[in-house]
Amino acid sequence: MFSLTHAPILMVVILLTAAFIVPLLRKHLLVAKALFLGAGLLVTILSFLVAWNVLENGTMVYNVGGWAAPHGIALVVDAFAAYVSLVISVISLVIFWFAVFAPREVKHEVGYYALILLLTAAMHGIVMAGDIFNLFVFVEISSLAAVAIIAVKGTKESIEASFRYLILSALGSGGLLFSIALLFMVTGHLNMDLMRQTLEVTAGQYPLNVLTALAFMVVGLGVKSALFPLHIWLPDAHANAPTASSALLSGLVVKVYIVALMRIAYMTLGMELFYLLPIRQILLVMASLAIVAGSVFAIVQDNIKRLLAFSTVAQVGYIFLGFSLLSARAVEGAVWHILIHAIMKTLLFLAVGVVIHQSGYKKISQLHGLGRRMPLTFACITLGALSMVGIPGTAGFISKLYLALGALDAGQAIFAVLILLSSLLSAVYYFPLIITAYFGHDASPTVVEPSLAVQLPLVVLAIAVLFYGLMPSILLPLVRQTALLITR
Amino acid sequence: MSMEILERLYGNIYYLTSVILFVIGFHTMLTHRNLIKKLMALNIMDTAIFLFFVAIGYRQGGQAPILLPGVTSFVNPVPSALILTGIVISVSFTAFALALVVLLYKHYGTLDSDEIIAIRGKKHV
Repeated sequence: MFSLTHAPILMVVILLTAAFIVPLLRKHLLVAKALFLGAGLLVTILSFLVAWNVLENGTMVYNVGGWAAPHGIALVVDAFAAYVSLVISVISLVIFWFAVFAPREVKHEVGYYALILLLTAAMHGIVMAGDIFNLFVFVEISSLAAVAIIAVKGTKESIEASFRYLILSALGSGGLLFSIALLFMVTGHLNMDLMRQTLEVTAGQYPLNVLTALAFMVVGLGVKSALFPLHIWLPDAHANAPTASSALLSGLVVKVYIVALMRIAYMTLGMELFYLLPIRQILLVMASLAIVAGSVFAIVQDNIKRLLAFSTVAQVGYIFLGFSLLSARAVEGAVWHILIHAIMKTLLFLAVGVVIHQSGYKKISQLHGLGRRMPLTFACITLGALSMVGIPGTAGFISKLYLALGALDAGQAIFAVLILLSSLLSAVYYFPLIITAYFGHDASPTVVEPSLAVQLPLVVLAIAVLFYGLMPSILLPLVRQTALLITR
Repeated sequence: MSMEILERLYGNIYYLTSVILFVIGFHTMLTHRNLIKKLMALNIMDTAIFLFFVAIGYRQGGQAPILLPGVTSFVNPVPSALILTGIVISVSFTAFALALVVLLYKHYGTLDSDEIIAIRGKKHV
């Protein structure tokens, strides 16, 4: 058996290399597509191996270039990193497949593939970074690539949305860099583990520095992950992007920044410090507002993609809620929700993209009877929507159950009520979509299903929704270990 | 008493300047409507952070960190090295944003963010 020592860095390197080769293959589109998918597949296999290795042998630390901690840059793959990496690689592979086989939405296909590869590489980098400045660099790469995959659509709206995203994202990056500077000032280290050891001594001496750094960090990463009052860029950006980009952005990108925040919280600051400050209460309030406001805004949307985008705002709230409740089961729920929301939101965005392309309709009120014309696609949408609402038997139920139980464990029953209430609200905005599609007169008899290759990712994701709903135990060890990292 | 405050301010002059610059950039970015000015403000803000970062490593009378006989006081090279990366990132952000501004001007015929929103709004109704 070959050694897995280099696997973590290889995941980033393979994707980065592919990102630079793919745009050169404009004349050989088939080769470019094969390379694109091949890189995705290879990284998925590697991430499975790494996750298995982390479960068997514990945290992997990789020193880039062979230089050890104080001088070198380390990649730290603990259970959390392995888990999120696994989620990213699997979901992005499905999206890669969709981007290759779905009808073209962008002018320069190879350039688009390159951007997606760059974004995926940066996401893997963020979740594995053990050096805080390295994390910042990956955050910047992913921010830039995320803006670019919206702008590639080239329409008026998408460019305006991407510009707004870029400005706010740059503001967030500024905040993050500032907080890194403040932390560097009191620790003299950039390695996250060494930072924590130093902070145990110096945090008490320079409380203002640490407090300011935390404020900038939460706001900086909060903007990027669209935590409620900072979410204003999200609906336009996600609604006007090409289908594959929307799925990638909503399903993975926003969550990666939450993961970055949590990793900094437990690796650099130590959870005691992170929660000694009033950050936890603030996050709880913001998360609750996100859940309610996201749902309420979603109810009034007629444009399907905007509805899904607002639903993402609410779902980001769930993940923050779980992390800030900080009971074992709440954190497990949040960790589950990273995967489960990625599956169902990707499914919904891809399926809705297919519907929009096949029919040309962008609004819920136009969908009359389409369910009978596109039975398979709408079956997938229905499953995704049921899971979003949290019907037992679907994956969405599992994470909501854990979150609600976690709220009770934390002695804050009000949040369990909030989760129930928001499930009701989700039903209010997801069911009209299904009801309009299946009932009503058949308004568009010419619409047909897309080819089988386009439907394959939808079916795979729909099966995943059912699978995790019925037997969630398969990833449980990894989720448990992740929760332990955070709650210990 | 006031002398002491002044001395402390002077002692932290780099930090003070960078915070002032940061606030100028932040304020301009949020209040000005012209997109180019927004980008300039963004750069001012970034520069402020770079100044802050480099100032952390600065030492009064420190030399370049090269081992030579007789040199005992060094400037910490790590922040400077990091900020080189930071500058590159900031340049690429700006370049990309300017490219988007060109496209925005082509589509909307204006660089005023309020007018762009107004034009968009009309289409929605």
